[in-house]
Amino acid sequence: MTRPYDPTESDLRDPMLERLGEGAEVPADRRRALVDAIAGAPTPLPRRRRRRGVWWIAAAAAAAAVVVGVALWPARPDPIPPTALLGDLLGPLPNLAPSEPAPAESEQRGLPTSGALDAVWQDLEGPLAIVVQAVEAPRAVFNEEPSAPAPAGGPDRKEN
Amino acid sequence: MRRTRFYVTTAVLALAATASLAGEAPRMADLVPARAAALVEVENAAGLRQALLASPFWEALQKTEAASRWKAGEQYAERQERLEALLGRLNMEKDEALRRYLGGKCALVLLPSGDSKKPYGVFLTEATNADAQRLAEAAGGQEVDRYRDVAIWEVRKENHVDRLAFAGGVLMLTRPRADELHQVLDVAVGGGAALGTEGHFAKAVGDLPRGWRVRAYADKTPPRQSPGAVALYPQGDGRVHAEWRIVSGPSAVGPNRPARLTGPACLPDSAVAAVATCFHPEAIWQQVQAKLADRADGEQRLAKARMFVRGWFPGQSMENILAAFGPEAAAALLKGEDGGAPGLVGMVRLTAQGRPAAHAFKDGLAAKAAILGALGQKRDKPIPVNLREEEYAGVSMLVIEAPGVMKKILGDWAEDVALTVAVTDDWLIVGTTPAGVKRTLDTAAGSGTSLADAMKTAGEHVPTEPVTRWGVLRPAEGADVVLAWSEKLLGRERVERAKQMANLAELMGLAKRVLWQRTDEAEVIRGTADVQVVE
Repeated sequence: MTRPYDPTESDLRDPMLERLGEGAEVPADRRRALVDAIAGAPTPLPRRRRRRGVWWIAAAAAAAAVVVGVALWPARPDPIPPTALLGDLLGPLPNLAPSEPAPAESEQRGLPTSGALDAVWQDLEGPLAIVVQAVEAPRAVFNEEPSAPAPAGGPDRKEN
Repeated sequence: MRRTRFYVTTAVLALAATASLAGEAPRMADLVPARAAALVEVENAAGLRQALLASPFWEALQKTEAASRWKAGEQYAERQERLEALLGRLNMEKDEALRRYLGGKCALVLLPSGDSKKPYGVFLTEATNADAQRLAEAAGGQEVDRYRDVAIWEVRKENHVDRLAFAGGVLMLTRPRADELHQVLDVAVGGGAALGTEGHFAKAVGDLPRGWRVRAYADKTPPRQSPGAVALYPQGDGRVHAEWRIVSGPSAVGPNRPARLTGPACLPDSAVAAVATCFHPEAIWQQVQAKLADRADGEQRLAKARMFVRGWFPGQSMENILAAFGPEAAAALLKGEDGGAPGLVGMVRLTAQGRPAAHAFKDGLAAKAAILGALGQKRDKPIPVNLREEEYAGVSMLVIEAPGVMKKILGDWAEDVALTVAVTDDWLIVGTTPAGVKRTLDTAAGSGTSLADAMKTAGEHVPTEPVTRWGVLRPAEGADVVLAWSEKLLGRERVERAKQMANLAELMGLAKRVLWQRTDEAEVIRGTADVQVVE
């Protein structure tokens, strides 16, 4: 395996002096100064070697950025479902409402006066049903049962 | 198409933002679908909670078994920790968080799911978009979808999934089971048909006075499965005023035609539960006739009904009987006098020509009791029936005692109980204890404190305007009496059901009095209630 060739300053200067000598008339001192300026300039590295160097710098910078990023990035918080929190705020309220459907009304009643009391019950039956529904309503969102969400957009979602 | 969507979304959001800037908070009913089964709205839930926590009711509630169980539960501590954790991430105190997220309008909408027991639910609350995003991030949410230009966030923890979105200063939150969040976004962002613009919603809530703190609407309210709404107005000092409207449909008034009720001024202050009602016998009879007219055996049944009614008023024609009573009646459950049994008292207002029919009823009852007593003597186990007339305050009272029979129904109370009937110039009074009827006679004559006087003194409204019904319950004073009588009259099963519904006995002890009033109009039933909790 041969070692790569690295040209020296004298290697460059001599051919240039020769080539310039073939061109236009240039004073000798000016020609020498020109050649010295060109030959004294930093020698460019071979193309492959330059590219490899840039890559290493970029890689190092990226790695450093990643390390810093990882170090400084806040850990993803343990999720806290907001519905559970709001359910907590309601306290035992939703549990005051019956969780099971009311049993079927018995035909057997006490005294016949219950017919008259039914009329009074009608006054409050409607509003109480609304209030009970309102008390039960939080269960639809804030219950503790596992939820099984539909795919994003809903199961049978139609495009608007 | 995409551009149109963008413009529509932008316009809706801009309108919402403009309304917000102008100080007009969005009406929640305008943000939820027209097909909503129910909508519960709360104004400043945080403030309401604060007021509740400071109330004597809350203090009393803490002493109940239900509250003790709740606080002693394993989950209670976990829940407190969960709340503290989120507050830490939000970098907010609890009160500030409550004010920011529950300090404006909020609502819970129930959407039909096909199972009436398990509707879909979406919670909406006023919150700035910045605060809403802060909450979504603090909760560990991630953007998983978009509805037009609105991001949909998801918070997933084990088998618990929340989805939320925010737009126009409103945060929408649900535990999704289907597309309920999109249904709300269709209205809130997409401009779809809203409940707030529906006629049936307007009819149910439109007439409710302003200033409510909680308003609940349901599209199917018993007894007619029609739209109805209840609004609550906390008054401070442990008082809550409620109003409701139930859409009833045209020409539904009939027997419920409002009347000026004088019964509350005639019932004694010892009433722990009382109701005064309009009473229109002719309208009731017309309704019965109309119902039976459609039946094949209607005429026969009508004849039987006529005989049954006339049987209670010997010698009176149907026309006389119908014209004798009304336009009001009242009933009350009275505390026992000097440790005696509590008594039920019923009274029916007499018209100018009503006294003969009322006396016919009283005399007919005496005759029936005498016959029953005579027949009872011939049984293997004789049933003694004692019959007597007693003069009190210039009024002749009929007293029928049958301790043997009463003991089966009323147990220990039987000794004090006797069917007692009295007829005054204005009232036919029937009671289960002579003491209760005597007290009522005194009050009707203007002696002693009446229920109406006591309620007025307590700052309650006693109607002078025509109403369909007015009632009062004083649970804390007579919880045991009410429950015991309820059980005897309504049957144990019903009372057990009521107890199941809301730990009734405990809650009754927390309410000092509950008053309600109903007024039927052509298309809507208007109701009010006032609750005074223990002090």
